[in-house]
Amino acid sequence: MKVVYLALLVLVSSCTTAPAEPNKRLAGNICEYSQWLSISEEENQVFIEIHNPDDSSNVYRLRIPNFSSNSLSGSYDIDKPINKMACLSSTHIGMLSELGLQNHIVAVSNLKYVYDSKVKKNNPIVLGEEQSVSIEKILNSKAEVIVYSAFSSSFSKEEVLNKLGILCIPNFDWRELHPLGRAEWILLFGYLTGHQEEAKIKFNEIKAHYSEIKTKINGSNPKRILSGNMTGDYWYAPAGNSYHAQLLKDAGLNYVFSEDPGTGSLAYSFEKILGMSSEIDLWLNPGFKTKKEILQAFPKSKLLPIVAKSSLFCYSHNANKYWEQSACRPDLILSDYSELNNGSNLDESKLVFYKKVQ
Amino acid sequence: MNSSHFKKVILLLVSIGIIILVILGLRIGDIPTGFSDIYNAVFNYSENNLSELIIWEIRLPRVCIAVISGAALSIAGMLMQTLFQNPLAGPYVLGINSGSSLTVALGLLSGVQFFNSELGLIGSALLGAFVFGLFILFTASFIRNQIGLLLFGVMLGSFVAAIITILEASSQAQSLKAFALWSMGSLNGVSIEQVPLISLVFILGCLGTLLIVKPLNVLVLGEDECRLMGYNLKSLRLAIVFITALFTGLITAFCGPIAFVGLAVPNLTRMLFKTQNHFLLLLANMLFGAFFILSCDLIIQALSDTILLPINALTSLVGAPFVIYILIRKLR
Repeated sequence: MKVVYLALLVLVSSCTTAPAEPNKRLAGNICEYSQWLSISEEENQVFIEIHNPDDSSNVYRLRIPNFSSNSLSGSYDIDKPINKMACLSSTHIGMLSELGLQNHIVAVSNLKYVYDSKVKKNNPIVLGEEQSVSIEKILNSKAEVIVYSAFSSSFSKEEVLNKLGILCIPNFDWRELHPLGRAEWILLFGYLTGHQEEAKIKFNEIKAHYSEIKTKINGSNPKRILSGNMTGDYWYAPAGNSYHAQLLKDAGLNYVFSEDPGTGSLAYSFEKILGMSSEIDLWLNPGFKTKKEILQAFPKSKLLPIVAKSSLFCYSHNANKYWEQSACRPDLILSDYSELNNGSNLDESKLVFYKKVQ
Repeated sequence: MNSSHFKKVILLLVSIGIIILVILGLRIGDIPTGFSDIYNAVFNYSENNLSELIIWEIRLPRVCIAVISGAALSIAGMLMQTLFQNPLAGPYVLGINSGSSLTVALGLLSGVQFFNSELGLIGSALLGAFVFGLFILFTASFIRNQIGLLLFGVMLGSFVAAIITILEASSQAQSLKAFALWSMGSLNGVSIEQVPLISLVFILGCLGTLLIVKPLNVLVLGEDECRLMGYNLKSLRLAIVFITALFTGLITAFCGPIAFVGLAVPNLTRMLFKTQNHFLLLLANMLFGAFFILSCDLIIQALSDTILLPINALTSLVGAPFVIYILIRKLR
């Protein structure tokens, strides 16, 4: 009986949906790095395509006026720039904030996780988690558009909201593997709000800053990095082809799992981590602000020599800031990582998101 | 082969199986280790040697708690089944685990630092197990029907699950994560320093069970017979509930909930040994329970590259169909 159940389990676990191919780009697509967002601009119209990473046949298409030309032709999915938006993820708030459009945010999932003081001051309506948002609250917020992350395969309220005239736009920035691909989603918010020129300028600045830091990095004697932490019985760490691994690579750091294939998370036993722990120079993202908290959550961490070395860095002291801004500002993460590569000469005051775990 | 000889052979085989599983448990892992490493780790430990460090600090506590949790939960199940004269009784089904889960949830999800500590976790799990054990004992005095009592346990479990869901809905993300992980069960949370304490409590529980073996043998014949033989039924019931709560609370505190072991293993041993001799049943449950959890742990380790299996999910996957089988057999 045991064998039958285990065989079933193995079968189920191996039947996961294969990721879709990166999108076939729109003609004249202006997105350079994004795998799942395409934008094509014409004189009087803009085409936006958002491809579902798990289903290549599922493409969300929008045709909107080119708000910078003021020349209209035919009917569009929206007629005027969006002024009121419901954002169900921190990254969406971060991108609008980066454009200075905090006043456009009229509803969020949970105010507790908002970092931007202007957004908090505006007191947006709290909608709850993505799959359980209240339609009445969305109506009350007068949002014209709701941007969701589609963490589960669909947004359950989409059909009803569309009937009520509220556009539901998926955002797959979190599935991008290139840091600049994730940041490029700022263009979506720019085009929707009629601030596309500002968005393009902002993205180009981020791109230039990212390249500048990358080219300045001294590749000699890179620090050996361990990332992730114990969750339950396993150590979860970014896989070798993931977004996070790409950032570490661009920062010239030597990530211990850089050769382990995959774009999501790796799960390893603690003894595997212990086996490689003597060669580690830095432990990134242990998930806590203090060593005491780490040891309380997982007492066996004391066996890792890196804990005694005190070379632990995390963004947990201000996690809201990190989650809100980091997607849009990979250049700032890269800047932090390149600073961490300086080892004992690092200047902690230069770190934007990261702080030493005390 | 006569019946007594058959029983001895079975017990001997399971004992040998346990020794093999313990050695495999100490040997198998991501870091290759040899038999000499196991010997050195146990008898000549040096923390500067990585293999010995891994065996001593990671594998040995896991293997020890696997043996103890399997044995303890199986004995707890045996005691419950004898007390309620019901083969479907067990600490998980009757809701004693639910009691522990509720108090641990109240503690962890309240965000109070004390409950996140070792002492807070153990204390709350033991308290919950004992209070719910007494509550079930009280309820059993007027629900005489075996299926009725079982349904009561299931309802109690649902009731507790609802309260936990309400607590979860209004909890901080960090507390919620801690509780969700705890509820999956784990043999990896125990440290080598905790093993002596856990072993001591386990041995005390076993000694307590040994002391009531004779009245347990009589209790099977009925409560009236037990009274006629001069045993204090009230004290006996309390002793059974206390030992069960001690075992269940201890294991739930250190490993989280581990379902169905306390139900499936005692039934299996009764089916195999066809006896009401509680000395033999105690021994058999200890060995079979330890063998079962050690096997589950080995499966988890062996499949860890393919699929991540929480111990509670694996014991349920194996135990639940067995319980359904017993239920169908009983209803026929």
